[in-house]
Amino acid sequence: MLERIGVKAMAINDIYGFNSCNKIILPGMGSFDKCMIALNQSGLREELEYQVQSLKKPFLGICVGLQMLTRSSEEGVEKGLNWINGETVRFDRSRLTINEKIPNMGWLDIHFANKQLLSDNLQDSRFYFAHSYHVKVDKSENEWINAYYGYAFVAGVVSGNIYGVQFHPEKSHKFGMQLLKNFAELT
Amino acid sequence: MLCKRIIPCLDIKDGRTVKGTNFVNLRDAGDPVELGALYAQQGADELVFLDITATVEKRKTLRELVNRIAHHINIPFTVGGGISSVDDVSALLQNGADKISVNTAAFKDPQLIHDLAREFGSQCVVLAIDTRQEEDGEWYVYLNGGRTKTDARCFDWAKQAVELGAGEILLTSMNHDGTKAGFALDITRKLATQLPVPVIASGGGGAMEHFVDVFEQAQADAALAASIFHFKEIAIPELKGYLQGKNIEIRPV
Repeated sequence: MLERIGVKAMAINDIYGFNSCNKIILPGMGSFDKCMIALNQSGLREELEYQVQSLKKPFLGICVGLQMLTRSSEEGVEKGLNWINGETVRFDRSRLTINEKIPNMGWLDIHFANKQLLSDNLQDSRFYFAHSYHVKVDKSENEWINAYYGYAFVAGVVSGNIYGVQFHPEKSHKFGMQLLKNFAELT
Repeated sequence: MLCKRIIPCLDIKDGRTVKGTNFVNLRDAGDPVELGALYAQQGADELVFLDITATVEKRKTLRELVNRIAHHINIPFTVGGGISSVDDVSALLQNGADKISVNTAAFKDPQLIHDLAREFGSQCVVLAIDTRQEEDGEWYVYLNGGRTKTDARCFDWAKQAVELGAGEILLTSMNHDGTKAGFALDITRKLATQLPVPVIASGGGGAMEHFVDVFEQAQADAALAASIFHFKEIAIPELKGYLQGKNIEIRPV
């Protein structure tokens, strides 16, 4: 998808791979614990933390890749990266109507809580979500994007050079490509 | 509000899109990747690729196809057909599939659903059910692409699968499939209103009003169709415009 918008991309398999990249995307596919264990065992975690926290390379976590930024998840027992003050919780069934199923699966409107960040050409945009868990942040300054499913939830977080989105920009057609482009053009 | 989804389905045999009526009489409908990309551009909300190839080479070819789809398509897609293990799913997800659908293998070994949900999360595990209403009025589960009848009732199996971790149900009525006479509203409604996961209705969509019925009367979360799109009987932008006119929440093209 990045190639389609003219951005060079590579998969990082070892710590030296980071040197060729000026931005990092962490996609998540799978359950919280599986993803955390995979990252911890990959041998990349320490270097990733250095690249993001010390070198301040722009970072985007997607779906579970966002949830991993929090300290914990109700989906599992592993510790998260704890780069963002917050936690990952299951959708609160008691606040959803009968027609609001879990997983939340499909296209939702998003709203930028912080309109300054990566929001170019994304007014009235919709993105594809597929998740049963969402993040809660301790401080509102870390809220970047909100969406509404039964109740308003945090669909995107930000902290300095660290971004995370619950939805899948890589699967969200024109708006998804626009968001990836906005991220790729960050300086 | 969450949008109702329109999902074109591409049945794949030996790398080509095919479509039959009531699961037989296959017709060629073109290159699946080209067709999928066209649908994405026209406003499809998701795609489903079902591989009905039955050869030993199948696994490898399916992975290659999924990889090609992922490189050309910027909306979510589900892959199904002969998936029977965690390793199968892992390979397909690594090649870019977003969700996988299981059918016969899951029925024979329900633990598979549990294992897949634990490994990859419920949101990527779609349970496909082929069901037929018999003369006694009950909906029964069929396996092996609709060739093998079981004694299991559709609702009971769907409920069990959801308890095991299936995150979505793709429900195909064999009575309606290929008839273009409308979706199976009663069984779809039963699943959609009584199960806590999204239900994709499949089989019988032949006119735009059928989609209104399946969303409003049957409360389906998504509707899947194949031949009406492949053979250009209904174009997706036209269908979405029609649904919007009926005040159904959809994603504008």
